[in-house]
Amino acid sequence: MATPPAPSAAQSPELAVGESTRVLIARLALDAALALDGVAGPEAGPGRVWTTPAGSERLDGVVVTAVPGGRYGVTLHLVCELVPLHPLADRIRERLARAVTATGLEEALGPVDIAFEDVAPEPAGSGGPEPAEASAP
Amino acid sequence: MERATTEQGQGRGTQGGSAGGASLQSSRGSTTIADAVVTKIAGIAAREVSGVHNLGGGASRAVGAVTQRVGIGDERSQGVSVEVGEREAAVDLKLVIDYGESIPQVSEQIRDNVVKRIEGITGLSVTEVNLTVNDLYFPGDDEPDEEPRVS
Repeated sequence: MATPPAPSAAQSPELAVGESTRVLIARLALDAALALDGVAGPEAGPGRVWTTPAGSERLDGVVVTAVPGGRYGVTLHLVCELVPLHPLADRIRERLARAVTATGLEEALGPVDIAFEDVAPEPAGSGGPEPAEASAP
Repeated sequence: MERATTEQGQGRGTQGGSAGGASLQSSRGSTTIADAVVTKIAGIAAREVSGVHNLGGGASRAVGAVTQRVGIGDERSQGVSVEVGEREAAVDLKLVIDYGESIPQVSEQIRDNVVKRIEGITGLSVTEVNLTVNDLYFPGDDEPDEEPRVS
């Protein structure tokens, strides 16, 4: 089982030098998810178990584990907004695939599981979606 | 929390999750929706209907008021329980309705809105929305009974 090498700093200047492939994929996955409208944030879970340690920092809401074939499976645990969730999950996967390809790690990316764990609180002053008015009797 | 599975779309199979909700498996990974998400969608959808004053029974509203005050409760799941299966969900709601509203009409609008929101957001089919109206709200219920003794 060969582990693909981590990209050089020249290939991906925005990524910290020396990070493992697993941590790089975790960072890319989290960035891909949080960049999209409809994703309110990561969910670290009870006891902060859904976290990937990355040196001195922790990447909450993402767990990356080695899977057979030298690849890494990603599980994202997210807090969502009230948007259609399956299309949102597809957009996250597409964005992550593009990011991983851009950094030369496409051979290392395994299945991407996405778990919507909670719904974000509505912003203060937001009335939410248009109310369903009761018609007069 | 229970977790179930759902299968949607061509060429997709099912896979059980680990901790509650509905899951959609594809060749590129699974998508899981926790029960808490379905619960909150149902609660928000019910509150969107005009004539719904609050959700929950008397005890849950009292407990909810305390837990929300200390920051550990979430009003949106109060009075809502859901059962999520592979492709379907069933919802039970406990409601307080504004006095004067037509309960049958408000109930029908709640059902329509809950079904629309859950199906639109999660892709689950809602098989039933059971409502219990356990109180009526009168304007003035929230006002203090006595005049303050000091100005």
